Amino acid sequence: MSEEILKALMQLFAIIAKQDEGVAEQEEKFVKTFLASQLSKTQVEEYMDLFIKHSEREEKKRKKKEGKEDPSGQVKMVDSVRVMGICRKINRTLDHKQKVIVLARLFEMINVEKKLSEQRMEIISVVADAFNLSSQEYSEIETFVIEDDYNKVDSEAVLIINDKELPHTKSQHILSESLHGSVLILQIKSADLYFLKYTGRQDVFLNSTNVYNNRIYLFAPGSIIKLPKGKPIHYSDVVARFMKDLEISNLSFIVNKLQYRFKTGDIGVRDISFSVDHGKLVGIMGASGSGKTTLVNNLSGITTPSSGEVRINGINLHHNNGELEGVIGYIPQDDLLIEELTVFQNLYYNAKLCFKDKNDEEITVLVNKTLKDLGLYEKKDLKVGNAMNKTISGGQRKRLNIALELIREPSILFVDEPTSGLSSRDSENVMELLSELTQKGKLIFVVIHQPSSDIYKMFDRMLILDQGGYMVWYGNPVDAIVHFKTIDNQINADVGECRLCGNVTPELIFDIIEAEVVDEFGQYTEQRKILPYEWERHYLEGVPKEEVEEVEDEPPANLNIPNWFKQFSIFLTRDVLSKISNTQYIVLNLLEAPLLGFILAFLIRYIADPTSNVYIFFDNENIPPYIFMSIVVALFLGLTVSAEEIFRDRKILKREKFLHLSRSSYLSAKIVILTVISAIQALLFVVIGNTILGIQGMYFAYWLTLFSVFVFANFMGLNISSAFNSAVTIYILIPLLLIPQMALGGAMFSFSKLNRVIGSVDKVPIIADLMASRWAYEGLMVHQFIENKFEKQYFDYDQVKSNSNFAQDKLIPKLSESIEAIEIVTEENKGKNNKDSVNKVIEGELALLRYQLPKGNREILKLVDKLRKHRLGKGVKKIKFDVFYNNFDVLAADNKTVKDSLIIPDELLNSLNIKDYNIEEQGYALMDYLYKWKDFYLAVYSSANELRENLIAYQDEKIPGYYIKFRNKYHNEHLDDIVRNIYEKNKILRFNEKLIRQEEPVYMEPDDSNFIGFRSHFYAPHKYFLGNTYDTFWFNIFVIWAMSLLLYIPLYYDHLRKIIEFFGDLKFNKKGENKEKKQKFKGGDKSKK
Amino acid sequence: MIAFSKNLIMIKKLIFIFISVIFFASCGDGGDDDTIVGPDSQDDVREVQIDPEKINGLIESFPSPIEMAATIEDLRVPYSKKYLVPTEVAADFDSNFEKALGLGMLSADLGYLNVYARKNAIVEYLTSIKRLADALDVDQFFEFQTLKRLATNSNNLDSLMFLSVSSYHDMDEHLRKTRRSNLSALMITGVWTEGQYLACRVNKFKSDKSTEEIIAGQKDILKELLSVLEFFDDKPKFKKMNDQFRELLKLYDNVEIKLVEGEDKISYGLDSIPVIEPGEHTEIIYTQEDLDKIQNKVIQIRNNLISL
Repeated sequence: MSEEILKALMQLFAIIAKQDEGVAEQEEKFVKTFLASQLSKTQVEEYMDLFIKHSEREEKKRKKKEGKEDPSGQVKMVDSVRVMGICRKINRTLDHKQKVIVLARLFEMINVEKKLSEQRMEIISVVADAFNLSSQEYSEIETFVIEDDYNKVDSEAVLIINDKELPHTKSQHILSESLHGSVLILQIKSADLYFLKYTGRQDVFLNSTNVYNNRIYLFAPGSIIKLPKGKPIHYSDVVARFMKDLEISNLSFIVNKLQYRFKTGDIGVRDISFSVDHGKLVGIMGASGSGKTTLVNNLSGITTPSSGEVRINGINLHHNNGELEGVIGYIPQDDLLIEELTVFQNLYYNAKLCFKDKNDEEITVLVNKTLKDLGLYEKKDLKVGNAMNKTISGGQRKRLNIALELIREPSILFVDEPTSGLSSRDSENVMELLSELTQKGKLIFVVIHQPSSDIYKMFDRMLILDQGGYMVWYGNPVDAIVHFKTIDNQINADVGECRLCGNVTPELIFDIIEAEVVDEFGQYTEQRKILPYEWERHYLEGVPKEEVEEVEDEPPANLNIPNWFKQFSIFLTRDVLSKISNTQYIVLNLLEAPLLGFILAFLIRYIADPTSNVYIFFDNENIPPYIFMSIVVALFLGLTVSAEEIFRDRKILKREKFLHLSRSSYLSAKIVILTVISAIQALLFVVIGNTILGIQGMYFAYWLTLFSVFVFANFMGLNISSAFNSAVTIYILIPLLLIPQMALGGAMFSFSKLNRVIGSVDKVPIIADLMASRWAYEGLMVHQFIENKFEKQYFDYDQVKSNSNFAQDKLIPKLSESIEAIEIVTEENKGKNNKDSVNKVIEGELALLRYQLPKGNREILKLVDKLRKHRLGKGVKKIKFDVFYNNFDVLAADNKTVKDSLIIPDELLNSLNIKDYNIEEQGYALMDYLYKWKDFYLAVYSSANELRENLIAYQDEKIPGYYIKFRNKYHNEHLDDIVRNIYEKNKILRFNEKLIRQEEPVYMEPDDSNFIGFRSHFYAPHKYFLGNTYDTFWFNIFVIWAMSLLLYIPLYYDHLRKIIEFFGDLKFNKKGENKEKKQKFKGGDKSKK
Repeated sequence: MIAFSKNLIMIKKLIFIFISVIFFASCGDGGDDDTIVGPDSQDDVREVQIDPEKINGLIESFPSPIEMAATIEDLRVPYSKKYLVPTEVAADFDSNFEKALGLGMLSADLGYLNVYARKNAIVEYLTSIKRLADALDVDQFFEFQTLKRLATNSNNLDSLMFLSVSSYHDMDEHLRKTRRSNLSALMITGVWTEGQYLACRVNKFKSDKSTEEIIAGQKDILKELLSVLEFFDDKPKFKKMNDQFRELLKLYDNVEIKLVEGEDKISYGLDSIPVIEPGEHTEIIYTQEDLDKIQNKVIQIRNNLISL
């Protein structure tokens, strides 16, 4: 109480006391006692003087005036005015609670002598008015203070404790064992206060101090009334009586032999059994490493115990989750706030996620009410900020964190160290808040570390853990001190709290528990006096257990989470708001991509001809590197923009898991936002980069590719963001993810020239197929080559030309060589005795023929088919394209003719084995076919060549210089060189039985022998999959998206985190094991001392 | 609520930026050129069959790119890059017609460069030739890497000559084998024209009897060349070119090439080694005026060809 208030109070006392006959002796004594309870001795004198001065002065004044004026029964105007003045002063500084206390004191004072004159009552009524107390509460206080006979007190606001049956019904009642008189408790609802008085003459103790007859006491949270006989009455018992009407649903929380074992076998907590019902504030204390968090995780259902059970209203918490949904709330020690959002928004979106049936208005009202309740209303539009950039205080943050769970009012709440890092004032506020909740019937578990005396006493029950997860106490907190002191044989062991000040010393408990044996030299040894299991035994054997009746009702769940889409939209709005409120983030994200695009494109906009100033796209050798770099940029930006997304939210996520909110809607919201950001970034990059480099008509293809890569990188980023615990780890990981993407993207190293272990001759190596960069790069390169406005006109001719040229010029000669090789080796070794080695050679060649010839058959049929379908030359309609062969037109001829003349029959192919093969028979027949093939391909080649020439000539006729103009504008020479692999020396390569084409891969159709296989050589123009061929560009885009979607699976199930945790667990527990061993000898945490 | 509306404005701004960028991008997309699709129907592809003996005869009587250059070597005329077909021009040859022609011309230029041992220029021309050969699908006969290595190593210039001549012949042969005798003919035309052109340019710079005789002495070869080229007269490009050669041939009307018989003479050189001079030789009769006309025409034709 401040000096000012005390002074004001003295004046009030004085004014009231001097009414009527002046200050009575008893009244003076009361004031003295009152002051003594508040102040030190010297100060008591000082204030006492003040009281006397005021009352005497008044007396004198009055006496002076008495002669002149008529003494009347009325209160003097002057007094009323003065009272009003004092009350105004008080109103400014005292809160409602304190005002009620003041009023109660005033009543108490006049009650001392039972001088209840009208004047006195009138002044008190003036005070009550000034304090804005309701008349009902005023009269309740009046009756409570003044009335001695409990029978006459008949109010809902009063609880009577005595040994008699209650005649009337309104009042609450607790039946005690024999007791002289009654203990009366008054509830002031508006202030949430309780007053206590005792009308009897026995020794009744309130928090171990004597209760005097008819004195008014404040019945503070955590108080205990000890009657001469019978069970003590706890604060919570009292509150429970009053709360009856408040629709408190019954709860029973029963823990039975709960034990938790880590994966390594170490025990986290062991044999925990206790039971508790609703409306209790349960503290959990223990040295660090004693298993507090493990216990809370088990009790709240985050982890499942190895044995034992937790039953809530008879329902097993760990095996019946559905029915308990929304019953439990959890407030971790960490911040759960979204820094970018305001105080209001944080709570608002949280509330929206909890109540689907409340509309926006109702939620706004609810949020505002909660904020008011917690004293945060004035700060509601402030951004929460972070530790570095504080806008609200630590206490306010904590309260807001609690508000997040509070607003939904779960019946059982777990709070992990709510006071850590807070000032003692803030700590008390927070604890009072929780304590108030228990009065509403909630069951709250609080892990607490070194509580102050006041906080310690707020708890209804205390659970104390010792090293190794032993429960060494569960029960009344003050009794705990007595218990340990008794076992430690301390003096005054039976006194829990200081008789004078009521303080308790919870730290004493740990001093006792962890006390070490002193050796003969007076040094502390590392040996504990009493080991954890001994403490447990002391508890189990020495303390009677409190049994709670199991409740059968369904536990009250206060959670009504919205459906998937609603959640998604809430997550989306919340995320968008938090993103756009971060201007730096938005600006950087919007500028980074175009800036990079500009830098990159500007640097490589190169004019090949030193004498010219005209930029020619065709001559710019940097286009392929540009394509590759843009993919790298997309990977980088996509990864960095997403790498912290989930990581930042991980605490919030842990909580939201409790609410059973959908992870997929959370992820989907994230993905949608990232996708939009990616789309914008890709667009800005492409628009700037491609425009500067003069890449024409390709904006969409580039955008789509980069966008897809961005999204892929987003998914990758989300995965690591979800798996790792620190930002540094995430950023260290980025190169590890990106370098392989770069190295195996196809641009830096040729796939045919990789290490044999991973390399593959005819297809892109599998490891490279796992890289999104490779698909993106190939897709864009091929698209840029085939679909540019120039090449598009000639591609079909070029392809037929290239393929038939390869066949007649490289492939068929190789096949002939094979047939000849058999002949040569047979000739050379005639009569020699080395049949095995000869056969080996022959077998090798035959294997090659067996593989290549059917393939050759297929390719001829495909080519004929293609030519017939007029695929040659897009835009060239009604083309009459004749290939003469053997005096027939291949295109016009029926299939049978084509087959008969060009296709090697199966019988011949089947006889290509060492047993049946005969040089003169099969060998010559094959040679015959090869001649025919060569002729066929030559005819096709020269026809395609001719057609192409004709087209160019036609175009040139229409617009002179057409070809070169288009080429310079739309085609790129260096890119052309790369996709045609012109630098490759070996145009054809033999690998076992395969002849592998190395030249002009961009014209070579993929192998379609495998129905589900889609792997192909690099720069294939098309992809074959499930019986269809697709353009490489579109197929590759599809692959990238498929990869992204695949990455969603580990993201959703958090696989990566689980894997990491699996390995992490092994390590950690090794450490833990050592620690435990050490502690067995050492006996505790040094830091405790 | 103020915060909400602020955010709303921000979102609107973002959407605006986004849409305008898309608009900009879609406007810039596509380019403004329309491609020309081919004619509605194309003629049947017809293969020109040339009597192989005819063309083989032509090839054999033809000077290879290097021979043309060798005569220039003796004249000790200063090297000039201006005489050669610029590689940038060669890069812009669009049709196979020009490419084959260009391949021949650049081969002749390569011969010229060999004479003067211009290594950098040789690599430049080799690269250009490689590109043309590549476009004609005859690059497999052109051992670019080897040639390049030889070019940069000055001691191997003779091997370079040898290799480039042989790859020239291989390419030519391959063209004919793959039914592209038109291109083969064009390649030969290219070599001949460029060789003739170089001779004319050199002669203009420094008149010399032997050069003049070479120029004038091409009458029969030109005739033979034309007789092959005329197979393709039905193609516009060939027609245009052939017409010019026919005009050139007309200018040769007054040139007479006589075979003079005589006895072989044996003379002894400085180291007393007998040298046999064949008695039979050709005598070329021409007037200076004719020669000038021929020379101008050759230069004109050649310049026309490279600017097609």
